[in-house]
Amino acid sequence: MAVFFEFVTQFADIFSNPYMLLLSVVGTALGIVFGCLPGISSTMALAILLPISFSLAPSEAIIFLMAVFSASVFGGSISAVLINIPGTPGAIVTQLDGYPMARSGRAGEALFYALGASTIGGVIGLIALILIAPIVAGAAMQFRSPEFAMATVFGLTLLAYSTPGATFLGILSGCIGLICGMVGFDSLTDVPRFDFGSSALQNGINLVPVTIGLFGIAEIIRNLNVTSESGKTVTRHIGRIIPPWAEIRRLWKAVLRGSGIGIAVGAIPAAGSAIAVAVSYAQEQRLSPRGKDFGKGVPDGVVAPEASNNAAVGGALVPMMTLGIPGDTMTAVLMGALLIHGLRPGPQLFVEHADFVASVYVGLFVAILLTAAMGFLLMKQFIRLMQAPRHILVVAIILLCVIGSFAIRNNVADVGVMIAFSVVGYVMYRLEIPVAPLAFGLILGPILEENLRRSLIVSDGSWMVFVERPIALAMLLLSLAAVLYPVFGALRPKWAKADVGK
Amino acid sequence: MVDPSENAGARKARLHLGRGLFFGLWAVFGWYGQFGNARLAEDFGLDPGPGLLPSIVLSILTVGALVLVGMGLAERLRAGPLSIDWAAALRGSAAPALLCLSLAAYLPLIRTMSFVPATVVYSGLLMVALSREQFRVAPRSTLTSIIIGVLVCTALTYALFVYWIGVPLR
Repeated sequence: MAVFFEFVTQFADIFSNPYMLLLSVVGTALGIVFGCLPGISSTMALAILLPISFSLAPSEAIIFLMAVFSASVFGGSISAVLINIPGTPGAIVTQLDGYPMARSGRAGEALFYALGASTIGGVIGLIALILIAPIVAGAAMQFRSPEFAMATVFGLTLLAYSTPGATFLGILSGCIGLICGMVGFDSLTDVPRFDFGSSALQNGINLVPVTIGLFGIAEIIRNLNVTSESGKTVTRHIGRIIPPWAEIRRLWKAVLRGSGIGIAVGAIPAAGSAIAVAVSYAQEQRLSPRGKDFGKGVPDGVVAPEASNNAAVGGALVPMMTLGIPGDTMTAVLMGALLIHGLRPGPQLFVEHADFVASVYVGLFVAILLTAAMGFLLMKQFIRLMQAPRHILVVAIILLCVIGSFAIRNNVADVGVMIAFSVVGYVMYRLEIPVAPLAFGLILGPILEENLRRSLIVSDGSWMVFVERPIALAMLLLSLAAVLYPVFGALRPKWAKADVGK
Repeated sequence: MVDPSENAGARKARLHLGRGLFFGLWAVFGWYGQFGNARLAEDFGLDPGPGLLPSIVLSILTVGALVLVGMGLAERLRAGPLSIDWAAALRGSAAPALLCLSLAAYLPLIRTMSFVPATVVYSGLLMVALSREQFRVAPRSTLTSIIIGVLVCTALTYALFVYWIGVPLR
């Protein structure tokens, strides 16, 4: 009931404050625009717009960022439907039926279905967040340093799965992030580490230039020689926008199923929206009466993944808000924003900053409403924007990245860090090493170290503290299982072959 | 950049060796920072000290790098010599390197010329470089789009960062 009261108060605050409303409108518009441009993921959109939020109060910043986050998820489906290129990874299966619909002159309908399903999925995800988060946070109130240390290890291990088939590389990539997180003065002893005598490094490596470098400039470098995307033509004639009511009504089950899958998969750290939509599409293909027509332009194939994609937003916020473990790269950047504003996600956030938690809920709700309104009213304008020359868009993003990195602390060294991590990100891409775990390591490293050392101080240096406490032990065992599972998976065929040989 | 005729084994070997080298370099820098800092080895009483986690993480990184190099060498023995076209690799790296250099040059340019002229010059040059192929096909329309693009980008970044956020870049 208290949550509901806070929600209504914050909701009224936003609608009575023109500045907050403006921030939400601007964030939503930027989110849709960035989301619909191929080559700009939701993570990249958040990373390059993050510096803008520094000048804002924490509640204003979160309203702005939630708007960018939520709207960019829908924006990704516009390019998936119109040019068969997903604007974001979460829109990867929307194109399977969305694009054939556009090719047959039903682009407007496909976008309407995507928008409607996104809105309903987003609201269902938000309701799940509001209902589940306080329960998880309540349970996490029992956590002490050993549990938090092991929860962070568990989160890091799961996050290494963010690129399927590369868990080992993901763990090593996470280790680089952990090392980067240790650069600068140690928080407990004030001893400088890995500064190599440079005053620029003594203040530590800021998360924002790292994410801008890894997810912003590195992506631009990757796409420097790609001309195929710019060569694709945007479907200009979108046809009728609102489909017949009978057709809309028929799809409610697909929307509900997609939303449920989105919440469940989104709440698993590292699973991410791309997995949620893939599961949702496969499930819908099995259950829908039109399953055999999937891939030929069936609305069911658009609404299920789109509902799932947006419901996953609420799901991914559950571990981030309650345990301080980001569910995917987007929530990792959001978590970085909270840390910069002096707010540490975790169960204490619900006790000490209940009004802020309500701001997150309201920010997401307003963003969903505004995305629906702007998406419907300005659909044709967004499509026109997609036809803007690529060189203008690329240069605008580069300027945002460079000035944004400088704007964090008005420090040239941060631009240097951004450039260095652009190169690191590009090298990792060429070597097919997952980049996201590096960012996770950088965020979670200081939390892990603080809790690990506190646990050892309390236990007089005994490592048994992680084994004697049941929750810490359970998470340690789960982490070990997560690390060892791919090893056994790789060895099993060899063992099987050896058995056959015998 | 990579020989298109490269077989799967050679590709695997190249990737493993490259990854091993990449993680190995991080480990070497890390250990250098760790052993070069005598304060990390001090006694901090009950606190295990600021050297504990770096040692654990660097050990994992070192072992991982060695495993990858080992896998790369084993794969190389199976697949034969690697065929890397270094000239093509260098050519492919030129554009990314130039972009990174230009990023580093932008802030000094602002210090020298002030924000608006520097952004006009920088964004104009970048747009010309990125649209050189379109220039050959349709020079007039490309030039128009560049002029509009430069004006929009400069106005947008000035309004956002200098005017609204107050970043000292005048």
